[in-house]
Amino acid sequence: MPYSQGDLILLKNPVKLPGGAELKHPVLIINSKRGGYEQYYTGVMMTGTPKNDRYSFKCENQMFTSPLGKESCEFRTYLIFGFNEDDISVLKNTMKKPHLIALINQIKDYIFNID
Amino acid sequence: MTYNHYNLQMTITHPYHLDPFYSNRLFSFKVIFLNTTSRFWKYISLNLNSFRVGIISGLYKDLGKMFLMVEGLKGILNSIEDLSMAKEEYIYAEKALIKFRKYYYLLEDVDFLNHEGIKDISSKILLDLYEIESKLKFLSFDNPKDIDCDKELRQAASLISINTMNNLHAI
Repeated sequence: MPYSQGDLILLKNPVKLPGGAELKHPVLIINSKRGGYEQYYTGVMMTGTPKNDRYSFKCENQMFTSPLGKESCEFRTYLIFGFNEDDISVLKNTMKKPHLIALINQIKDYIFNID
Repeated sequence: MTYNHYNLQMTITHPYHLDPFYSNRLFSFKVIFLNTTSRFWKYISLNLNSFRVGIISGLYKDLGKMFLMVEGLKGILNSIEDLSMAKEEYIYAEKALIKFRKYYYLLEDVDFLNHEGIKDISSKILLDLYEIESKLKFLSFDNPKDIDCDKELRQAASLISINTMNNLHAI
């Protein structure tokens, strides 16, 4: 199933940390199209632990097509990484356009410094 | 602090700050009234139609004025270098963003009253307010000292990326 920019997904397998703990975080797809043959996506991590610093982008239920089901979520704008389509477990939600543009602009301006 | 551009001057003086809601134009009343009446419009007497159209027209004008204001505030941002001023203005910018977002949700809830102009201009204002807020946020906060609080997330992001790279099969 092709996913789109703005889709909030969960990855299929939680990441196992060296200590053995499993992490299963929601991730927002920020690239506009799949990376061709490899079906490669780029995502930014969401967390439920608010930091309120220069790298946070606070979320509200109304920014998405359906409620998040959790209070005080935010994106960590510097935690950007790549994954395959096969790694995606489920589509949880979709972010609405103006908020998505604002998030991507913040990443471009303050993480990559693109003019 | 002054912003000069094409002989225009815009100045922030106390007590105005970076706040586009600078005067009482019954903005909140208009948005809430239109949100409510749009839901029940077919049940309300059509005698109110011209009244409602007038309010929509007034709201569109208010949004136009607010857009000009926000564009001007964006220009002023480039001249903010003082950290204490950035911190002070960030509070107002964040409040303005949260406040406008509430109105935006109300308008979005009724499909922007089927008015393309209102949809377009309120989206632009929202994006401008996001830009102002993020710029001041970046100036106001230092690099987080407790970056280790994101250690697990960073580790997870790295591991996922490495696994993905290992699984890529280039042609």
